[in-house]
Amino acid sequence: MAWPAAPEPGPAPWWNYFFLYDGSKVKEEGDPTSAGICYFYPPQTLPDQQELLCGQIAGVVHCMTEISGVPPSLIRLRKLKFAVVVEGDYLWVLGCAVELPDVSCRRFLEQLISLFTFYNGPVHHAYVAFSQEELSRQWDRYIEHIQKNTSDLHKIFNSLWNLDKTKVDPLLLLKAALILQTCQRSPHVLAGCILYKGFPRTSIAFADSPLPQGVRIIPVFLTEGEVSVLRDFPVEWMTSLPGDPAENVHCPRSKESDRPLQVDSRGAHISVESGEQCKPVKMSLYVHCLKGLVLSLLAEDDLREDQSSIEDVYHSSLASLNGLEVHLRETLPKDSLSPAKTTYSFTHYDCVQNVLTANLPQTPGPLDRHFLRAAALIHSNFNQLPTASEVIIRNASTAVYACRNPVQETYFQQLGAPLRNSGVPNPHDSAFTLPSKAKQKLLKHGVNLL
Amino acid sequence: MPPSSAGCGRPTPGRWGGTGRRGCGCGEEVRGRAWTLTRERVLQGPALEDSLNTLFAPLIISCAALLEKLADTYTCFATEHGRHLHVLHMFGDCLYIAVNGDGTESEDDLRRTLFVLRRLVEAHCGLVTLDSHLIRKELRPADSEQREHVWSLLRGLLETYSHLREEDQSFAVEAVERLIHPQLCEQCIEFLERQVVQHINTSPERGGDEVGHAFLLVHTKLLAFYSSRNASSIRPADLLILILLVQDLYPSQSAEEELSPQKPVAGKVLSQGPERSESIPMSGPGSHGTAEKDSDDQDTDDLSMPEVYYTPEPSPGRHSTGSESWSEGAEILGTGEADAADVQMAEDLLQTLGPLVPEASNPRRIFLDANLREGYCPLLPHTMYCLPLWPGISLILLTKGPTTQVAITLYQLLDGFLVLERKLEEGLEAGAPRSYPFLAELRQRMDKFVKKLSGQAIQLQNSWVEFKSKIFSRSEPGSSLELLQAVANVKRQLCSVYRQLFLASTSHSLSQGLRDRAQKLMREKLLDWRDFLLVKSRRNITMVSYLEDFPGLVHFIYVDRTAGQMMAPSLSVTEKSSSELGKGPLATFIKRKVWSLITLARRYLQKGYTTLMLQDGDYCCSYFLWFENELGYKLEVMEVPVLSDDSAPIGMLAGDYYRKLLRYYSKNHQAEVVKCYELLTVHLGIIPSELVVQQACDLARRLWEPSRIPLL
Repeated sequence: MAWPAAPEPGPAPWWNYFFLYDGSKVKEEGDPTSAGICYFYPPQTLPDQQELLCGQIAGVVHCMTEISGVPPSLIRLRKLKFAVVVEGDYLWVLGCAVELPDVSCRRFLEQLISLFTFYNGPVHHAYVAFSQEELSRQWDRYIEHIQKNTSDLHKIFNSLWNLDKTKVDPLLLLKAALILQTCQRSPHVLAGCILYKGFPRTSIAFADSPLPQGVRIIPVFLTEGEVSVLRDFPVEWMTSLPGDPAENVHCPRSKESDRPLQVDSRGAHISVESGEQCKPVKMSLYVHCLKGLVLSLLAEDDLREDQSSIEDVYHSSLASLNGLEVHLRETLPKDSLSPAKTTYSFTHYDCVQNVLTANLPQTPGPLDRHFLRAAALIHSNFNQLPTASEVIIRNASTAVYACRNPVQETYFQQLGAPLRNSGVPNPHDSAFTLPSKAKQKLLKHGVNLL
Repeated sequence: MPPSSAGCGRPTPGRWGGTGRRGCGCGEEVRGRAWTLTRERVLQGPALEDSLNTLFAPLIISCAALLEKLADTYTCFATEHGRHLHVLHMFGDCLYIAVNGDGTESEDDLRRTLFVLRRLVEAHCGLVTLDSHLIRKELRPADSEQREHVWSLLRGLLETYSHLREEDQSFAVEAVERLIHPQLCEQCIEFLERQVVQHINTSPERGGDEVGHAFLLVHTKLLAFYSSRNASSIRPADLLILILLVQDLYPSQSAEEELSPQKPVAGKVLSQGPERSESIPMSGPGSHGTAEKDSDDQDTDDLSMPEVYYTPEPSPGRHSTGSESWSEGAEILGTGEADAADVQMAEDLLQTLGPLVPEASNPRRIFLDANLREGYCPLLPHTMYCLPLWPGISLILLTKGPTTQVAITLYQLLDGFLVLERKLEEGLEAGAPRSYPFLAELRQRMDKFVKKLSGQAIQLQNSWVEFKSKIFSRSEPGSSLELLQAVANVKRQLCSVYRQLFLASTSHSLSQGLRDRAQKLMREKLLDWRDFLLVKSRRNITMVSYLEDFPGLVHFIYVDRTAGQMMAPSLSVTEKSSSELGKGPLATFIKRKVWSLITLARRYLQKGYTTLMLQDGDYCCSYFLWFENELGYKLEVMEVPVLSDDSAPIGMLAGDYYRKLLRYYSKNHQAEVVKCYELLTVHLGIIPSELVVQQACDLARRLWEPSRIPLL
C-alpha cells in the first residue's frame, strides 16, 4: 500500500535555504528579480533557482498580505517549510525541513536576524554602510554558527546549553560572578557574561590598536527597549559556563516574550515588543579572549572612547580570568564522553533560564530518535494547551512521559525492549509506571518532580 | 475576508513573459480561475467571484509555478499565532483552498473541510471527478444561475457538515451512531424487508430501479438498516455522507419543535425558516437511555426516559410550509449541454416556483462505493430517496438502476487506462508499450464496450481508434508523450460517456405512488414510537448508568472502526435541550474538552502513537487504539505509519484513514479478520492514573458486547 509516510528525521539537511530580499529594488516591470536578492544561502544555488524561490515567495507573501492584512509568518510546502519575516520592503525567509517544528523554524530565523542586527545595525543602514560582499560574509558566518551549534535538542527547545550542573564546581560559578561584579563597577558597563570552551573568533589584528592584548571593542546595536531595561533595572548576576561559543550569544532583538536576552547578565527576561522600542541604539561590546575563555561585556557606546575605563576593566579582571581559565581547564571533564550507561533518557528544560539538562548521546540511536520526535510533538502541544500538565504517549517501540509546570518541562523515556502489548487499555502496561520512575530516577540529576 | 471559506480553482502556470519577474504576477494574464463557497453572504454572485479571482490569482499562479519547477507546492499559510490560516490541497488538477480569518478553525479543521468538499463532489459527480476538464464544467457551469445552484448546494452541505462536526459526536469522530434499541431495530428491519423493499422491488411501478438498501434515521442516528440480498454492502464512510445529505435536506430542529403535536412532514413540503443556517437550533447528538446488555432492563429504562428528561411543550403551527431556502438544494444533475432545453425548462420552473422545489435534490443521484458480484466500482450511481416521516425521522431508500453494469465496465476501463498512464509516465515497464501484458485484455474489453455503444459515442470511438493506431502500430509507434495524450483523450471520452449516462440523463425512478406508500406504511408502523424515538435520539446512552461502576468517569467515546460505528453518552448542548450536565458553562466546558481530546488523539495517531494519557487541568483524558480478531482476542500492537502534516485527515469521511489502517495491519494477519477499536475517556483529575487505565480496560470490555448487535 502506498502510504505517504513522512520521511524519517535523519541526517538530511534541516536548514535548506535562507534569503534576504529587498522588494524596493524590484518595483518596475523591467526590474529583474535578481536585483532584489541581497543574500542567498546556500550560495551555490543556481541563479534560476534563487530567483524562482525569491520571486515566488515574495509574490505570495504580498498576495497573502493583501488578503489577510498581515503577512504570513509561516509558509508550508509538502517537503519544505519557510519562516517569513517582513519589515518594510525587506523580506527574510528561512527554509527548513518539514520535520523541524514550526516554532523552531521561526525561532532560528529570528535568531539569525537578531545576530545580524546586533553586529551590523538595522538592515537598511547596514546595506548602505557596507558592501553586499562584506555583509554576505557576515551572514555566512552567522549561519555557520547557528548550524554548528544546533543539536537535536536545540531544534526543539530554545536553550543555551545542556549541561549536567552537578558536574560543575560551584566555586567556579562564584569566581566568575565576582569577575563580572568587578567589571560592572566601571561606569559604562551594563551587562556581561563569561563563556568557556567556545571558539573565539579569529581576532582581526589591530596592529596599532591602543587596546590591551586579546581585547576588542565592537560596536553593536540594541533596541531602545532593550537598552532601557539594562539601564533601569538593578543588576542580578548570573554566569554562564561553559557552553555556547563566545562570539555570538547575543540575540538582542528578541521578539518572543519568552526568550531572555542571552547577553544579559541578569537572570531576568528582556522581552521587547517590535515597534517603537526597536529603534537601534549603538552600544559597545567589550570582548576579551583568553585561551578558551571569553569575557563579554555590554557597555555604553562611550566606553570606546574612554581609554582609562577600558584599561581599568582589563586590569581588574585579567588576573582572575587567568585563574579561572586554569581552574576550568583542570577541573572540567575533558569531553563528557558517553556517560555511564543508563536505563533511561531524559531532558529537563528550564523555560525561564532557557537551560537544558539531558543525558542523550551525541549521535542518537533509534530509541533516541523516538524520544526526540515525541518530545518535539509534546513540546508543541504544551505550547497550545496551557492547562496540560502531564502526558504519556506510546507506540509499538517506546513510551514517553512528559510533565510541565510554568517554569519547566521534563521528558522521560525508559530504554530497553518494550513489553509486548496490544494497545488495549491495560493497567499492567509499563507505560503507566513512567511517572513514578521519572520521579525516582531524576532526583539524582537535580530534577525534582515530586 | 469572511471568517471561513473554502473553494477551489484550477491553477494554470502563468506565462511570465520576458520580464524575468517571477514575483506576484501583477499585470500578468491570469488564466487560473478561483471560485468559492463562502460563508459570507454579503458579497455574492459575480462581484464576489471577481474580487476573489483578483485576490487569489497570484497565489494560484504561484502554486502552479512551484509545482512545475520544484515538484512541490504550498499546503499552508499561517500568520503569527495562527489567526489567519490558508490551507491548500490539490485534488487532481484542481486546487482547493480553505481560509479562516478569525482563529476559530485549526489547520486540521480546514484541511478536513477541503477533503469533505472533495468527497461531496465525488458523491455528486461520480467518476467525472477523474477528468479535470469535465469536473470543472460540472463545478463551474458557464451559466451564472446554474453555477449559483451548484455552489449553493455545496455551500449548504459544507455548512451542514461544519455544524454537525461542531455539535454531533458522531461527526466529530466520523463514525455512525446507532440508536440503541435492539428490539425495535429488529422489528424495523423486518418491516423494511417485507413491507418496503420487497414490495417495491416486485412492483411494476419501480421503473427499472431496484431498492438495494433502506434505512431509518432519527436525526443523525441510525435506527435500522436493511440491505437486499444481492446488494453490495454500504461502506460506513458512505453511510455517514448519506446521513449528512439527509441532515442537509431535513435539518434537525429543537426537541420542543419536533415533539409538538403536529402533522407529519409531507413529502416535499418542508418546514423551514428563510435562512436555513439560522433556523437550525440544532442538533441531534443528543441521546439517552442505556447500553445495558440486558434488553429487558433496557426497555423499561428507555420507556421511562421521556418522563424523566422531557416535558412536551405544545407549539403547533411553527412548521409552516415552504421557503426559498429549498432552492439551495437545487439539482446538480441534468445541467449538461446535451439537454439545454430541459435545463431551460427547469430554470423556468425554478423561477416560477421559487423556493418550492425540494424534489430538485430529492430524489438525488448519488455515487457510492459498491462491490458487486459483477465487479467493483468506487462510485456507482445510486438514487437516494429521502422520505421524511416526521421532523427528525426519515426513511431513506437507495436504488440502483438497470445500468449498473455499464458503470462497472466504465470503471474497469478507466482503471485500466489509469494503470497504463502510470506505466507510461514511469516508463518502467520493459519493452514496447504494446506488449504490456494487461493491454490485450484492456483492448478486448474496450473493443467490446465501444461496439456495444454502437455509434452512440462517436467521440469515444474516434479517440479509441486513434489510440489503437498509436500504440499497436508496428511500423511507427507513437512517442510516449503522444501515447499519454491519446490515453488522456480516451479517459476523457470515457468520463464523458459516464457523465452522459449518469449525470445528464434523468433516470428511471420509483413512482410517486410507491414512495407515498412506503412513507405512509412506515409512518403507521412508527407512529406510536415517534415521541419515544425523538427523545431517545437525544438520550441514546446516559452517563448515569455508568457512574456506579466507573466512579470519576465524566465521558467516553467508543468506536468500532471496522464497522465504522461509535457509542457515547449524549453531550448535546443546545439552546433548548440539555444533556445530563445541564446546559450551563459546565456542559459546554466538558464538550470542549471532549472535542479537544478528539483533536489531540488524532494528532498523535497521525504521528504513530496509539496510546495517549493527558492530565489537563482538573481532568484526566485518555485515548487508546487497538486491534482484535473476531473472537475478541487482542492482537499485538504494531508500528502505525507516521504521516506528514499535510496528509489526508485522520477519519472516515475523507480519505478513510481507518480503512487504510486496517488493510495495513491485516497484511500481517492474513488468516484472520482484524477489527480496530478506539476508546476515549475523560475522568476527573483526582482519579489516580492506574485507576483511569483500569476503568478504561473495564469499559472497553463492557462496551464490546452491544457494539456487536448486527446492523442487519
